[in-house]
Amino acid sequence: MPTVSFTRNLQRHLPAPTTAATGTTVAEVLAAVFAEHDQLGSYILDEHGAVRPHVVIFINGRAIRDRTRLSDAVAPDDDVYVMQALSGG
Amino acid sequence: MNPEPDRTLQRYARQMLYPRIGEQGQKRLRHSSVTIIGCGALGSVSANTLARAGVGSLRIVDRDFIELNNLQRQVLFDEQDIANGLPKAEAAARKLRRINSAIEIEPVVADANPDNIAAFCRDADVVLDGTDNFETRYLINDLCVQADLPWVYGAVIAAEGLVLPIVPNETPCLRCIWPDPPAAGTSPTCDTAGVLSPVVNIVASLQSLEVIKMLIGAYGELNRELFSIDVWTGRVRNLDMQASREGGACPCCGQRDFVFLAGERTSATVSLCGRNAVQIRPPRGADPLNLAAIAGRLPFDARPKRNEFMLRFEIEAHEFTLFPDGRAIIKGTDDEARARGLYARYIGG
Repeated sequence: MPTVSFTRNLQRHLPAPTTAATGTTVAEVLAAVFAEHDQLGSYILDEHGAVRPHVVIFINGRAIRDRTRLSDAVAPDDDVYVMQALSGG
Repeated sequence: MNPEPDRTLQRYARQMLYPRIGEQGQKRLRHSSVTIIGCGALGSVSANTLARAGVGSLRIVDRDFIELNNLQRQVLFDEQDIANGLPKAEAAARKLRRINSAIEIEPVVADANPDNIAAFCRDADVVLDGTDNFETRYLINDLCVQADLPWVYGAVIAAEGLVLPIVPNETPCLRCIWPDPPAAGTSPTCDTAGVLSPVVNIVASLQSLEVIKMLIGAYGELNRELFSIDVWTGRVRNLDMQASREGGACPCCGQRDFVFLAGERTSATVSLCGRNAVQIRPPRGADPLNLAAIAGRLPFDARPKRNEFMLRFEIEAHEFTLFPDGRAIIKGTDDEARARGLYARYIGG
């Protein structure tokens, strides 16, 4: 199963453990994670299901192309990583 | 026969031994100019690195003054700077001139905003991001994309850091990756998460390295991926952002809609990261303040202290620091409305 992990700064706000999740697209994989951690969903996706503008999602270190429908394909061994912009300096 | 070596470059001998720099690269650095926006943790480490590396001209822009809790990570400052009440830009310039008297340092005590950022970046070959807030970073991005000026993003929170060199119209810009900054209260800040000095030093050092590559013309050798590090776990990622730029959908470099530069997304009031303080910026075109006159009007128990850079006083359990351009930093609150009210009552406007 694909593995989904989150930046540690996101984990400061919400429980966001690294999770193995079923699915063949980013949308399906995240839906599986959000089924267990529903608060995460509204933080990462907007009310239309698109990636919020301060969040970016990677598959094996490459940014996804479809931020609106999350249709990028995910293979069983893929690593999905969710991060957000940082502000400090 | 080899030409006579330039003896003025001898202080950089160890750096010139690195073949990708060499004497030719060192001479290019000497004739280069960098604007550093923000001289807190990242900015002070970067300014230190670039001054020692021999970048010929550094313009350091910062709106802030030095506090004791800065010294844990802001390497250019010390306790005496605090006692002297120096703004960060001025204190940094004084320190850097002692480190390298052969280069030009221009301190600018100001808040970078849509009205002045172009002037601050004029004549710069590269802009380095040393800021501590999203608003100024998106402003830098707008300006640099519009002006086709390379810049290097860097950011830190807690043990995590990010670095990305941005070559406008060639590599993804900040809004390609994150189309908009997060809403207030939805992202960690220095207030909530703190910051470790080691991640500051790593991120700023890598920002400086990418700047040096740009200045010597080594654009082909930039790390064009988003560098991400968690120093606590040791996890490093190089993240490929190229897909973010595809399709020309980026509101900034794709559609060339420079809303931050136009001032449409710029607030006049901002809560300062990790400070329990709010900054108030006067409207565009506001007249400069007469700090001496204001000091004279204050209640007797406000205990005003003034130098050529600022007026500081205490009122209603809040510490005001007022600058000649009308900007104020009000400590003791994160409530922007409360801060605006205090400003209106004691400064006016």
